[in-house]
Amino acid sequence: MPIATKLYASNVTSTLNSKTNSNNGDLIYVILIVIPVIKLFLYSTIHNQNPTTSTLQSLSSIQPFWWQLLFMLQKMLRLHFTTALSHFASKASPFPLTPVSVTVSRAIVCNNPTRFRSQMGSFSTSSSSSSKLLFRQLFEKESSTYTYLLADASHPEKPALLIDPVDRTVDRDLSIIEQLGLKLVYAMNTHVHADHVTGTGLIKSKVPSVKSVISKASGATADLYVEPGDKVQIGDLFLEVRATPGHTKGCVTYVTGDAPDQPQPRMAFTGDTLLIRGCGRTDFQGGSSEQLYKSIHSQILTLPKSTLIYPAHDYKGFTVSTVGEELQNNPRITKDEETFKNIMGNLNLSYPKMIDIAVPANMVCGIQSNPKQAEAS
Amino acid sequence: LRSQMCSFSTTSFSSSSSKLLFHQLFEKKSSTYTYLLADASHPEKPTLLIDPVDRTVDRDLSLIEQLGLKIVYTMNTHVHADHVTGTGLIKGKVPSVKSVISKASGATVDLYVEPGDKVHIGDLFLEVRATPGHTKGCVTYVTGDAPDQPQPRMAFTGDTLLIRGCGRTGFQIYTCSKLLEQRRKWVKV
Repeated sequence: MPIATKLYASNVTSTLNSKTNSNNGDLIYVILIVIPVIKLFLYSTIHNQNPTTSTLQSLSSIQPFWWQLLFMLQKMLRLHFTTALSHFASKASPFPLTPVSVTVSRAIVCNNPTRFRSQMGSFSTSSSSSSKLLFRQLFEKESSTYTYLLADASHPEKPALLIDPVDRTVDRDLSIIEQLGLKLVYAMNTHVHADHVTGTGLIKSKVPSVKSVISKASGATADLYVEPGDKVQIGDLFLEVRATPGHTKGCVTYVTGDAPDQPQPRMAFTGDTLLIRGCGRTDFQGGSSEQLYKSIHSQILTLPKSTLIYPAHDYKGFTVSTVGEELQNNPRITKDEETFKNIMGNLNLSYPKMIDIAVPANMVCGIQSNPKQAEAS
Repeated sequence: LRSQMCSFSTTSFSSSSSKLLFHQLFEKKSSTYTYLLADASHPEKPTLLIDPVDRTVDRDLSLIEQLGLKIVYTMNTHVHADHVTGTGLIKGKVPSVKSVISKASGATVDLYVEPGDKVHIGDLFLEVRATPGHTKGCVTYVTGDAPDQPQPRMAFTGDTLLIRGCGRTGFQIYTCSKLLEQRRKWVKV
């Protein structure tokens, strides 16, 4: 017995080492090799002669104990390699995420070594910064809506917020938050949307601690109302609230902080106020082209030219712009105010087909009262 | 004087001689990303496009014109099966553009790249890494590993590595085991 066990262990170790080094072939072949070796050993031990002269029948009849041992070893082999397979699989499938050096040092200070894997900076800032922005731009195809995820990845709890979540992509959003080990604190909307149902209510039902945020001027129901000049804080990051009515009367733009420890370049989440090479329509929900023009010019275009513009929608496939780019290339907002109002007054856009469903729902965090249309209980 | 607009910046740029202008662009029907990279600090603003799509060529060229860029290369990570590349259309409109793909792909282009090659635009460069498995000709373009190159580095993986997924392997010759092998090598780097 001790001899057999030693042989077993020796073969397994040798084979695994070989496998790891060469990255060759299928593990099934390992099993096919090892079992015959063990059989050979057993035959030669029992009969001390050429194994080809033996038969399974004769082995069984002569030495039942050895036969039983053979089966036991086979079971051990299968169990062991099943474990080995799952080990390889678990390594291959979620790729190891190597933290950048700044994150490592912060993580050590915060005493969270077990969370190294999920700390992945997708946007890096100066080494003097005390916060580290984790940022994702996420897309909902049907309404061409962008949802934004921001988190302070250097904070021990990794507080996070979502801007303009959509109902049909809530599961995706919450899944990535869980994968990255973030704690969702706020679900914020730039305005009451007319073209999709917000995911805020669904999110709150799944994560009750989340606070919904929208401007007071929107008239919608939410946990927290923001007003111009307010700051929304997650960890050491904050977003400044700027009133940008025009697309709707309640529109706001959320801008990253203007301070040395905040992300550079700054980021402006403009909702439907300023779009890439365009702007929001002004013909519904208390919209006003005059107000929109003033909002864009006084609240967004006054930001540094390098400020990144992240809109709520894009229909041509653009993902990001800058204040400078829009100042040079936006065909609407670069016109004088009268021309702009004339352009906006003659767009002749079709009636927004979702508005009768979306607006009533979005006034209450996306909860729909008609059971036929409800997507959440 | 046209302002040089940067859509992605890092601290290393303060010491860097190049300034990356980067745009990620989306084609909705095939869910394809096209990437635009330019050296905005170079007087000519040389530019390349990765994996352009035929139906969004006008958008891409329009953006390039608006930003005052000069497109030098249109590069594909592989021969696509889910959309038609915009490379030919682009060359039709801008004859000076060179098309680039891996030699292993077997496709017809102006310039073939092989593993280890570097593609330069101004002071920026992309390193070519062979990543067959989705197709036999797949490559990944990685930004340079040097102090004057963008940080963090960027890897344009084509269909080899997707976000929370990877490319299918049932077509265009290669097998799953080869893909897995490549992924392991890639991750180790």
